[in-house]
Amino acid sequence: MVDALKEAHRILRPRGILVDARPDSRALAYAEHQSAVGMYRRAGVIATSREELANDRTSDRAVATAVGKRWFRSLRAGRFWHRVLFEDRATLQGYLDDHARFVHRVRWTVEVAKRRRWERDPWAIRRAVRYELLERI
Amino acid sequence: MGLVRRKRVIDIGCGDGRMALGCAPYASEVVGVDPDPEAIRLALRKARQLGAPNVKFKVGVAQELPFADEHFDVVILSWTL
Repeated sequence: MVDALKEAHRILRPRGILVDARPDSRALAYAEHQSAVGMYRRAGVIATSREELANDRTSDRAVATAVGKRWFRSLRAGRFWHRVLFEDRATLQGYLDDHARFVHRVRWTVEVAKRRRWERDPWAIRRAVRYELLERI
Repeated sequence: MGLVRRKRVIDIGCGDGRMALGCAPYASEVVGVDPDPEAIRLALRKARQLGAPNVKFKVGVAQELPFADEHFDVVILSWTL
């Protein structure tokens, strides 16, 4: 990752901008049910897998190294929330089964009866995305 | 999109080119690079469908990019690091 940042530094003109955006595993992700009027409500919590937490820490260290070596300086950083939409709960579960980022089981915060009732309704995973704008030195 | 307006932009780890093609109407030049040839094929197909003449896609890795020093104004690493 540090090699990739070094290469980005090489091809960027001085004062050019590097945009780094990636999932923010410091924040939990949420399973949300969409009501008939289109409102999303939180129905469960989805943790990031241990491997991905380690990968994210490695990425953080790579950016810190690039800043420490004075290849870049941080201009701005923040977080926004992003929803991945699913037509029903089975599709959401299929996504969790297929993707390494999250643990495969939702920690539900609503009771089973409600989940069953909402089975065929639209669902979403709401997750945090972190971004940082770095200026090439 | 002010960040990429009239700029030379590279999207490293561009996947199917969604972000690169989103920048195309604003930037002067956009290059997408990804190690997955299948993703690049898909990106090229999308670029043809959209008619984005200022966008190029190449198979390549982030550690060894076939571009001159200081060529770009903006580097995008989206879900790449």
